[in-house]
Amino acid sequence: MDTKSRLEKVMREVFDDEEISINDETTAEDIEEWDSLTHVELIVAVEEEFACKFSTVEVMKLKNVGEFIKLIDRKKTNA
Amino acid sequence: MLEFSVGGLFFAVLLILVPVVLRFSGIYRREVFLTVNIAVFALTFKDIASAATAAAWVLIPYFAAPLISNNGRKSLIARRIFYVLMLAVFLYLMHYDWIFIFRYLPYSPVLKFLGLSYLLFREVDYTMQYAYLKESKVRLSLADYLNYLLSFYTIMAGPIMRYEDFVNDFYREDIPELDTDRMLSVFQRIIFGYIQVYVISALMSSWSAYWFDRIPKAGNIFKSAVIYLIFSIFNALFIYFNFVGYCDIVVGGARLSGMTLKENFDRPYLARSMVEFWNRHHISLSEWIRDYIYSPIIKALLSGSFRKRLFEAQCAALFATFLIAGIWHGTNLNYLVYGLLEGLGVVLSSVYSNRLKKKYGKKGFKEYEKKTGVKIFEHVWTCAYVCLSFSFVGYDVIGLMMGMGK
Repeated sequence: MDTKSRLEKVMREVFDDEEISINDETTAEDIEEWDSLTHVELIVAVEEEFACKFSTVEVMKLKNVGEFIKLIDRKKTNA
Repeated sequence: MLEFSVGGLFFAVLLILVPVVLRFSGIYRREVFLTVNIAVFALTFKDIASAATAAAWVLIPYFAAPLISNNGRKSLIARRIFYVLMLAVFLYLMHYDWIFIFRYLPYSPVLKFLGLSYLLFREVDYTMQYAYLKESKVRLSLADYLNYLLSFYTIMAGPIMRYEDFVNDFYREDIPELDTDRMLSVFQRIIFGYIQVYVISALMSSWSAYWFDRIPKAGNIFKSAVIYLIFSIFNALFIYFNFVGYCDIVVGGARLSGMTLKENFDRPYLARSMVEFWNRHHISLSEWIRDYIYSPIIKALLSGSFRKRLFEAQCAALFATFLIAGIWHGTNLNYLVYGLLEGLGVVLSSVYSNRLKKKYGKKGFKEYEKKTGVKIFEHVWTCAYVCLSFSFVGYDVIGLMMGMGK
Protein backbone atom coordinates (compact mmCIF):
# COMPACT_ATOMS: atom_id res chain seq x y z
CA MET A 1 0.00 0.00 0.00
CA ASP A 2 1.27 3.50 -0.78
CA THR A 3 1.51 6.30 1.76
CA LYS A 4 -1.73 7.88 0.65
CA SER A 5 -3.83 4.73 1.12
CA ARG A 6 -2.24 4.02 4.47
CA LEU A 7 -2.86 7.59 5.60
CA GLU A 8 -6.46 7.30 4.42
CA LYS A 9 -6.90 4.13 6.46
CA VAL A 10 -5.52 5.84 9.58
CA MET A 11 -7.77 8.86 9.05
CA ARG A 12 -10.84 6.63 8.70
CA GLU A 13 -9.99 5.02 12.00
CA VAL A 14 -9.19 8.23 13.88
CA PHE A 15 -12.17 10.19 12.59
CA ASP A 16 -14.40 7.15 12.80
CA ASP A 17 -15.76 7.63 9.29
CA GLU A 18 -15.46 4.94 6.60
CA GLU A 19 -16.46 7.36 3.85
CA ILE A 20 -13.38 9.55 4.10
CA SER A 21 -11.39 9.69 0.90
CA ILE A 22 -8.42 11.95 0.48
CA ASN A 23 -6.30 13.55 -2.24
CA ASP A 24 -3.34 15.96 -2.14
CA GLU A 25 -5.58 19.00 -1.91
CA THR A 26 -7.70 17.72 0.98
CA THR A 27 -7.52 20.00 4.03
CA ALA A 28 -8.99 19.92 7.53
CA GLU A 29 -11.86 22.04 6.18
CA ASP A 30 -13.02 19.11 4.04
CA ILE A 31 -13.27 16.59 6.86
CA GLU A 32 -15.76 17.47 9.50
CA GLU A 33 -14.14 15.66 12.40
CA TRP A 34 -10.71 17.09 11.63
CA ASP A 35 -10.31 20.03 14.01
CA SER A 36 -7.47 21.43 16.04
CA LEU A 37 -8.08 18.92 18.82
CA THR A 38 -8.35 15.77 16.72
CA HIS A 39 -5.37 16.87 14.60
CA VAL A 40 -3.01 15.83 17.39
CA GLU A 41 -4.70 12.45 17.65
CA LEU A 42 -4.26 11.96 13.92
CA ILE A 43 -0.57 12.81 14.23
CA VAL A 44 -0.04 10.24 16.99
CA ALA A 45 -1.84 7.56 15.00
CA VAL A 46 0.22 8.37 11.90
CA GLU A 47 3.42 8.23 13.95
CA GLU A 48 2.45 4.73 15.06
CA GLU A 49 1.46 3.56 11.59
CA PHE A 50 4.66 4.75 9.93
CA ALA A 51 6.95 4.29 12.93
CA CYS A 52 8.32 7.83 12.84
CA LYS A 53 8.20 11.00 14.95
CA PHE A 54 7.14 14.51 14.02
CA SER A 55 8.04 17.68 15.89
CA THR A 56 5.35 20.08 17.11
CA VAL A 57 6.46 22.63 14.55
CA GLU A 58 6.43 20.24 11.58
CA VAL A 59 2.81 19.26 12.11
CA MET A 60 1.74 22.84 12.77
CA LYS A 61 2.85 23.91 9.33
CA LEU A 62 0.93 21.31 7.31
CA LYS A 63 -1.45 22.97 4.90
CA ASN A 64 -2.99 19.95 3.18
CA VAL A 65 -2.83 16.19 2.84
CA GLY A 66 -0.27 16.46 0.02
CA GLU A 67 2.21 18.17 2.35
CA PHE A 68 1.45 15.61 5.03
CA ILE A 69 2.25 12.74 2.66
CA LYS A 70 5.52 14.43 1.64
CA LEU A 71 6.46 14.85 5.30
CA ILE A 72 5.67 11.19 6.04
CA ASP A 73 7.70 9.99 3.07
CA ARG A 74 10.66 12.14 4.12
CA LYS A 75 10.53 10.83 7.68
CA LYS A 76 10.12 7.22 6.53
CA THR A 77 13.22 7.38 4.36
CA ASN A 78 15.15 9.07 7.15
CA ALA A 79 14.21 6.34 9.57
CA MET B 1 9.15 56.43 33.62
CA LEU B 2 6.37 56.01 31.06
CA GLU B 3 3.05 54.28 31.77
CA PHE B 4 2.35 52.85 28.33
CA SER B 5 -1.29 52.14 27.48
CA VAL B 6 -3.67 52.65 24.58
CA GLY B 7 -5.36 55.39 26.62
CA GLY B 8 -2.20 57.47 27.03
CA LEU B 9 -1.41 60.54 24.97
CA PHE B 10 1.94 58.98 24.02
CA PHE B 11 0.26 56.00 22.37
CA ALA B 12 -2.18 58.29 20.54
CA VAL B 13 0.73 60.33 19.15
CA LEU B 14 2.50 57.15 17.99
CA LEU B 15 -0.74 55.86 16.47
CA ILE B 16 -0.87 58.86 14.13
CA LEU B 17 2.83 59.60 13.67
CA VAL B 18 4.36 56.14 13.13
CA PRO B 19 2.30 55.25 10.00
CA VAL B 20 3.31 58.55 8.39
CA VAL B 21 6.99 58.13 9.26
CA LEU B 22 7.03 54.47 8.17
CA ARG B 23 5.50 55.30 4.78
CA PHE B 24 8.34 57.74 4.11
CA SER B 25 11.14 55.67 5.59
CA GLY B 26 11.69 53.54 2.47
CA ILE B 27 14.49 51.01 2.87
CA TYR B 28 14.90 52.05 6.52
CA ARG B 29 11.39 50.98 7.46
CA ARG B 30 12.69 48.19 9.69
CA GLU B 31 15.21 50.44 11.44
CA VAL B 32 12.69 53.21 12.03
CA PHE B 33 10.15 50.79 13.49
CA LEU B 34 12.88 49.25 15.63
CA THR B 35 13.90 52.66 17.00
CA VAL B 36 10.30 53.42 17.98
CA ASN B 37 9.82 50.02 19.62
CA ILE B 38 13.04 50.12 21.60
CA ALA B 39 12.40 53.73 22.66
CA VAL B 40 8.91 52.85 23.94
CA PHE B 41 10.17 49.76 25.76
CA ALA B 42 13.14 51.61 27.29
CA LEU B 43 11.01 54.53 28.44
CA THR B 44 8.91 52.17 30.55
CA PHE B 45 11.86 50.88 32.60
CA LYS B 46 11.57 51.77 36.24
CA ASP B 47 15.26 51.70 37.05
CA ILE B 48 18.56 50.19 35.98
CA ALA B 49 17.73 46.77 37.51
CA SER B 50 14.49 46.55 35.56
CA ALA B 51 16.32 47.61 32.39
CA ALA B 52 18.96 44.92 32.86
CA THR B 53 16.37 42.23 33.60
CA ALA B 54 14.28 43.22 30.60
CA ALA B 55 17.30 43.27 28.30
CA ALA B 56 18.35 39.81 29.46
CA TRP B 57 14.81 38.46 29.13
CA VAL B 58 14.55 39.75 25.58
CA LEU B 59 18.05 38.99 24.27
CA ILE B 60 18.90 35.59 25.80
CA PRO B 61 16.29 33.62 23.80
CA TYR B 62 17.59 35.12 20.56
CA PHE B 63 21.15 33.99 21.19
CA ALA B 64 20.10 30.70 22.79
CA ALA B 65 17.85 29.62 19.91
CA PRO B 66 20.63 28.34 17.59
CA LEU B 67 22.23 26.43 20.47
CA ILE B 68 19.10 24.54 21.47
CA SER B 69 17.66 23.78 18.03
CA ASN B 70 19.85 20.94 16.77
CA ASN B 71 18.85 17.30 16.62
CA GLY B 72 21.59 15.95 18.87
CA ARG B 73 21.26 14.75 22.42
CA LYS B 74 23.21 17.68 23.85
CA SER B 75 20.88 20.12 22.17
CA LEU B 76 17.87 18.26 23.54
CA ILE B 77 19.21 18.51 27.10
CA ALA B 78 20.09 22.18 26.57
CA ARG B 79 16.58 22.76 25.22
CA ARG B 80 14.96 21.22 28.29
CA ILE B 81 17.17 23.22 30.67
CA PHE B 82 16.43 26.39 28.71
CA TYR B 83 12.64 26.06 28.96
CA VAL B 84 12.70 25.02 32.63
CA LEU B 85 14.87 28.04 33.47
CA MET B 86 12.71 30.31 31.35
CA LEU B 87 9.60 29.16 33.17
CA ALA B 88 11.23 29.52 36.60
CA VAL B 89 12.43 33.06 35.84
CA PHE B 90 9.00 33.95 34.46
CA LEU B 91 7.23 32.71 37.60
CA TYR B 92 9.75 34.56 39.76
CA LEU B 93 9.44 37.84 37.85
CA MET B 94 5.64 37.64 37.91
CA HIS B 95 5.92 36.85 41.61
CA TYR B 96 3.11 34.34 42.04
CA ASP B 97 1.96 34.90 45.60
CA TRP B 98 0.81 31.30 46.18
CA ILE B 99 4.16 29.78 45.22
CA PHE B 100 5.57 29.72 48.74
CA ILE B 101 9.22 29.49 47.85
CA PHE B 102 9.11 33.01 46.37
CA ARG B 103 8.31 34.44 49.80
CA TYR B 104 11.82 33.57 50.93
CA LEU B 105 13.56 35.06 47.91
CA PRO B 106 14.44 38.73 47.60
CA TYR B 107 12.12 40.47 45.14
CA SER B 108 11.21 43.96 44.08
CA PRO B 109 8.15 44.84 41.98
CA VAL B 110 10.30 47.18 39.87
CA LEU B 111 11.77 44.05 38.27
CA LYS B 112 8.57 43.53 36.28
CA PHE B 113 8.59 45.20 32.90
CA LEU B 114 6.10 46.04 30.17
CA GLY B 115 4.56 43.07 28.40
CA LEU B 116 6.36 40.33 30.32
CA SER B 117 3.50 37.80 30.04
CA TYR B 118 3.11 38.24 26.32
CA LEU B 119 6.83 38.38 25.61
CA LEU B 120 7.00 34.84 26.99
CA PHE B 121 4.64 33.56 24.27
CA ARG B 122 6.54 35.23 21.46
CA GLU B 123 9.89 34.03 22.77
CA VAL B 124 8.65 30.45 23.01
CA ASP B 125 7.31 30.68 19.47
CA TYR B 126 10.62 32.02 18.13
CA THR B 127 12.83 29.49 19.90
CA MET B 128 10.55 26.52 19.16
CA GLN B 129 10.29 27.46 15.50
CA TYR B 130 13.95 28.41 15.06
CA ALA B 131 15.06 25.26 13.19
CA TYR B 132 12.04 25.42 10.90
CA LEU B 133 12.47 29.16 10.28
CA LYS B 134 16.12 28.71 9.40
CA GLU B 135 15.34 25.86 7.02
CA SER B 136 12.58 27.91 5.38
CA LYS B 137 15.00 30.83 5.00
CA VAL B 138 12.84 33.23 6.98
CA ARG B 139 14.76 36.38 8.01
CA LEU B 140 16.27 35.87 11.44
CA SER B 141 18.14 39.11 12.11
CA LEU B 142 18.23 40.62 15.58
CA ALA B 143 16.38 43.68 14.28
CA ASP B 144 13.49 41.54 12.98
CA TYR B 145 13.41 39.55 16.19
CA LEU B 146 13.25 42.72 18.30
CA ASN B 147 10.53 44.21 16.13
CA TYR B 148 8.56 40.98 16.49
CA LEU B 149 8.98 40.91 20.25
CA LEU B 150 8.68 44.59 21.06
CA SER B 151 6.26 45.93 18.42
CA PHE B 152 4.58 48.74 20.36
CA TYR B 153 1.23 47.73 18.90
CA THR B 154 1.22 44.30 20.49
CA ILE B 155 3.57 44.60 23.45
CA MET B 156 0.83 45.34 26.00
CA ALA B 157 -1.55 42.44 25.44
CA GLY B 158 -1.14 40.87 22.03
CA PRO B 159 -2.63 39.66 19.72
CA ILE B 160 0.02 36.94 19.94
CA MET B 161 1.56 36.89 16.46
CA ARG B 162 3.75 34.04 15.21
CA TYR B 163 7.28 35.01 14.17
CA GLU B 164 6.90 33.73 10.63
CA ASP B 165 3.59 35.52 10.08
CA PHE B 166 4.94 38.74 11.56
CA VAL B 167 8.06 38.80 9.36
CA ASN B 168 6.24 37.74 6.19
CA ASP B 169 3.68 40.46 6.79
CA PHE B 170 6.28 43.11 7.61
CA TYR B 171 8.13 42.56 4.33
CA ARG B 172 5.21 41.89 2.06
CA GLU B 173 5.49 43.81 -1.16
CA ASP B 174 1.81 44.35 -1.77
CA ILE B 175 1.07 46.47 1.30
CA PRO B 176 -2.44 47.69 0.54
CA GLU B 177 -2.66 51.39 -0.23
CA LEU B 178 -4.88 53.23 2.20
CA ASP B 179 -7.40 55.03 0.02
CA THR B 180 -10.00 57.29 1.59
CA ASP B 181 -12.55 54.51 2.07
CA ARG B 182 -10.11 52.14 3.73
CA MET B 183 -8.69 54.95 5.86
CA LEU B 184 -12.16 55.89 7.04
CA SER B 185 -13.04 52.33 7.95
CA VAL B 186 -9.77 51.91 9.87
CA PHE B 187 -10.32 55.14 11.78
CA GLN B 188 -13.87 54.09 12.46
CA ARG B 189 -12.56 50.85 13.95
CA ILE B 190 -10.01 52.69 16.10
CA ILE B 191 -12.55 55.19 17.37
CA PHE B 192 -15.05 52.45 18.08
CA GLY B 193 -12.23 50.64 19.92
CA TYR B 194 -11.68 53.66 22.13
CA ILE B 195 -15.40 53.95 22.79
CA GLN B 196 -15.55 50.28 23.78
CA VAL B 197 -12.61 50.63 26.18
CA TYR B 198 -13.26 54.03 27.68
CA VAL B 199 -17.05 54.31 27.59
CA ILE B 200 -18.71 50.88 27.43
CA SER B 201 -16.21 48.80 29.38
CA ALA B 202 -15.61 51.65 31.88
CA LEU B 203 -19.34 51.69 32.54
CA MET B 204 -19.47 47.89 32.88
CA SER B 205 -16.50 48.03 35.23
CA SER B 206 -18.16 50.55 37.55
CA TRP B 207 -21.37 48.51 37.57
CA SER B 208 -19.59 45.26 38.32
CA ALA B 209 -17.68 46.98 41.17
CA TYR B 210 -20.96 48.39 42.47
CA TRP B 211 -22.65 44.97 42.58
CA PHE B 212 -19.54 43.24 43.89
CA ASP B 213 -19.60 45.51 46.96
CA ARG B 214 -23.24 44.64 47.58
CA ILE B 215 -22.79 40.86 47.62
CA PRO B 216 -21.88 40.56 51.33
CA LYS B 217 -24.53 43.11 52.29
CA ALA B 218 -27.42 41.27 50.61
CA GLY B 219 -28.76 39.73 53.80
CA ASN B 220 -29.44 36.15 52.73
CA ILE B 221 -27.72 33.59 50.57
CA PHE B 222 -30.32 33.64 47.79
CA LYS B 223 -30.09 37.41 47.34
CA SER B 224 -26.30 37.18 47.46
CA ALA B 225 -26.36 34.57 44.70
CA VAL B 226 -28.58 36.72 42.47
CA ILE B 227 -26.38 39.77 43.03
CA TYR B 228 -23.31 37.63 42.37
CA LEU B 229 -24.77 36.63 39.02
CA ILE B 230 -25.46 40.28 38.12
CA PHE B 231 -21.93 41.23 39.15
CA SER B 232 -20.44 38.41 37.09
CA ILE B 233 -22.39 39.40 33.97
CA PHE B 234 -21.15 43.00 34.16
CA ASN B 235 -17.62 41.80 34.86
CA ALA B 236 -17.68 39.49 31.83
CA LEU B 237 -18.99 42.36 29.69
CA PHE B 238 -16.23 44.58 31.06
CA ILE B 239 -13.57 42.02 30.12
CA TYR B 240 -15.07 41.55 26.68
CA PHE B 241 -15.41 45.21 25.70
CA ASN B 242 -12.10 46.15 27.26
CA PHE B 243 -10.20 43.50 25.33
CA VAL B 244 -12.12 43.72 22.06
CA GLY B 245 -11.78 47.51 22.15
CA TYR B 246 -8.05 47.25 22.80
CA CYS B 247 -7.68 44.84 19.87
CA ASP B 248 -9.68 47.15 17.56
CA ILE B 249 -7.34 50.01 18.46
CA VAL B 250 -4.08 48.11 17.92
CA VAL B 251 -5.22 46.12 14.89
CA GLY B 252 -6.50 49.35 13.32
CA GLY B 253 -3.36 51.26 14.31
CA ALA B 254 -1.09 48.60 12.82
CA ARG B 255 -3.17 48.59 9.64
CA LEU B 256 -2.36 52.30 9.20
CA SER B 257 1.31 51.30 9.27
CA GLY B 258 0.69 48.63 6.63
CA MET B 259 0.82 45.73 9.09
CA THR B 260 -1.86 43.08 9.50
CA LEU B 261 -2.29 41.70 13.00
CA LYS B 262 -4.15 38.55 13.87
CA GLU B 263 -7.84 38.93 14.69
CA ASN B 264 -8.44 37.90 18.29
CA PHE B 265 -12.23 37.66 18.56
CA ASP B 266 -15.05 36.12 16.60
CA ARG B 267 -18.28 36.93 18.47
CA PRO B 268 -17.48 34.59 21.39
CA TYR B 269 -20.81 34.98 23.15
CA LEU B 270 -22.56 33.25 20.27
CA ALA B 271 -20.74 30.04 21.23
CA ARG B 272 -22.75 26.97 22.21
CA SER B 273 -20.03 25.22 24.20
CA MET B 274 -16.94 26.13 26.18
CA VAL B 275 -14.73 24.54 23.52
CA GLU B 276 -16.35 26.73 20.89
CA PHE B 277 -16.13 29.77 23.17
CA TRP B 278 -12.36 29.43 23.39
CA ASN B 279 -12.17 29.07 19.61
CA ARG B 280 -13.83 32.48 19.36
CA HIS B 281 -12.44 34.36 22.37
CA HIS B 282 -8.79 35.48 22.62
CA ILE B 283 -8.12 33.30 19.57
CA SER B 284 -4.38 33.99 19.38
CA LEU B 285 -4.01 32.71 22.97
CA SER B 286 -6.18 29.64 22.32
CA GLU B 287 -4.10 28.73 19.29
CA TRP B 288 -0.85 29.30 21.13
CA ILE B 289 -1.83 27.07 24.05
CA ARG B 290 -3.13 24.46 21.59
CA ASP B 291 0.23 24.34 19.82
CA TYR B 292 2.61 24.68 22.74
CA ILE B 293 0.74 23.17 25.72
CA TYR B 294 -2.13 20.93 24.55
CA SER B 295 -0.28 19.23 21.69
CA PRO B 296 2.81 18.17 23.66
CA ILE B 297 0.66 17.00 26.59
CA ILE B 298 -1.72 14.90 24.52
CA LYS B 299 1.12 13.50 22.47
CA ALA B 300 2.88 12.42 25.64
CA LEU B 301 -0.35 10.93 27.03
CA LEU B 302 -1.24 9.03 23.88
CA SER B 303 2.21 7.60 23.48
CA GLY B 304 2.33 6.76 27.19
CA SER B 305 -0.19 5.71 29.79
CA PHE B 306 -3.30 6.80 27.81
CA ARG B 307 -2.56 4.68 24.74
CA LYS B 308 -5.79 3.86 22.86
CA ARG B 309 -7.81 5.92 25.35
CA LEU B 310 -8.28 8.88 23.04
CA PHE B 311 -11.16 10.58 24.74
CA GLU B 312 -9.72 10.35 28.27
CA ALA B 313 -6.40 11.67 26.99
CA GLN B 314 -8.15 14.55 25.27
CA CYS B 315 -10.01 15.49 28.46
CA ALA B 316 -6.89 15.26 30.63
CA ALA B 317 -4.87 17.35 28.17
CA LEU B 318 -7.63 19.95 27.82
CA PHE B 319 -7.95 20.26 31.57
CA ALA B 320 -4.20 20.68 32.12
CA THR B 321 -3.95 23.18 29.24
CA PHE B 322 -6.70 25.46 30.51
CA LEU B 323 -5.48 25.21 34.08
CA ILE B 324 -2.04 26.41 32.97
CA ALA B 325 -3.58 29.14 30.81
CA GLY B 326 -5.67 30.27 33.79
CA ILE B 327 -2.62 30.47 36.03
CA TRP B 328 -0.85 32.52 33.35
CA HIS B 329 -3.62 35.14 33.56
CA GLY B 330 -2.70 36.36 37.04
CA THR B 331 -0.56 35.82 40.08
CA ASN B 332 -3.03 35.22 42.91
CA LEU B 333 -5.12 32.20 43.89
CA ASN B 334 -8.25 33.51 42.16
CA TYR B 335 -6.59 32.79 38.81
CA LEU B 336 -5.85 29.25 39.89
CA VAL B 337 -9.57 28.78 40.55
CA TYR B 338 -10.30 30.47 37.23
CA GLY B 339 -7.97 28.00 35.49
CA LEU B 340 -9.63 25.04 37.25
CA LEU B 341 -13.06 26.30 36.18
CA GLU B 342 -12.02 26.83 32.54
CA GLY B 343 -10.45 23.37 32.52
CA LEU B 344 -13.58 21.84 34.01
CA GLY B 345 -15.76 23.80 31.56
CA VAL B 346 -14.04 22.55 28.41
CA VAL B 347 -13.94 18.98 29.76
CA LEU B 348 -17.66 19.06 30.61
CA SER B 349 -18.43 20.42 27.17
CA SER B 350 -16.39 17.63 25.54
CA VAL B 351 -18.05 14.94 27.67
CA TYR B 352 -21.48 16.38 26.86
CA SER B 353 -21.00 16.28 23.08
CA ASN B 354 -19.22 12.93 23.25
CA ARG B 355 -22.10 11.30 25.14
CA LEU B 356 -24.69 12.75 22.78
CA LYS B 357 -22.74 11.55 19.75
CA LYS B 358 -22.62 8.05 21.23
CA LYS B 359 -26.31 8.12 22.09
CA TYR B 360 -27.67 9.51 18.81
CA GLY B 361 -24.89 8.65 16.37
CA LYS B 362 -23.25 11.33 14.26
CA LYS B 363 -26.24 12.13 12.09
CA GLY B 364 -28.68 11.97 15.00
CA PHE B 365 -26.44 14.34 16.94
CA LYS B 366 -26.61 16.90 14.13
CA GLU B 367 -30.40 16.70 14.12
CA TYR B 368 -30.47 17.00 17.90
CA GLU B 369 -28.30 20.13 17.76
CA LYS B 370 -30.85 21.78 15.42
CA LYS B 371 -33.63 21.74 18.01
CA THR B 372 -34.56 25.20 19.31
CA GLY B 373 -34.75 24.08 22.93
CA VAL B 374 -31.28 22.55 22.72
CA LYS B 375 -29.89 25.68 21.08
CA ILE B 376 -31.30 27.92 23.82
CA PHE B 377 -30.06 25.62 26.57
CA GLU B 378 -26.54 25.47 25.14
CA HIS B 379 -26.28 29.23 24.57
CA VAL B 380 -27.55 30.08 28.05
CA TRP B 381 -25.44 27.46 29.78
CA THR B 382 -22.28 28.56 27.95
CA CYS B 383 -22.85 32.26 28.66
CA ALA B 384 -23.62 31.56 32.32
CA TYR B 385 -20.59 29.35 32.72
CA VAL B 386 -18.32 31.94 31.09
CA CYS B 387 -19.66 34.74 33.29
CA LEU B 388 -19.32 32.74 36.50
CA SER B 389 -15.83 31.48 35.72
CA PHE B 390 -14.69 34.94 34.55
CA SER B 391 -15.86 36.40 37.87
CA PHE B 392 -12.55 35.24 39.33
CA VAL B 393 -10.69 37.52 36.91
CA GLY B 394 -9.98 40.94 38.38
CA TYR B 395 -11.83 40.43 41.67
CA ASP B 396 -10.81 38.74 44.90
CA VAL B 397 -13.73 36.34 45.00
CA ILE B 398 -11.89 33.95 47.32
CA GLY B 399 -11.35 36.78 49.81
CA LEU B 400 -15.03 37.72 49.51
CA MET B 401 -16.21 34.16 50.17
CA MET B 402 -13.84 33.71 53.10
CA GLY B 403 -15.09 37.00 54.55
CA MET B 404 -18.73 35.93 54.17
CA GLY B 405 -18.03 32.51 55.66
CA LYS B 406 -16.88 34.01 58.93
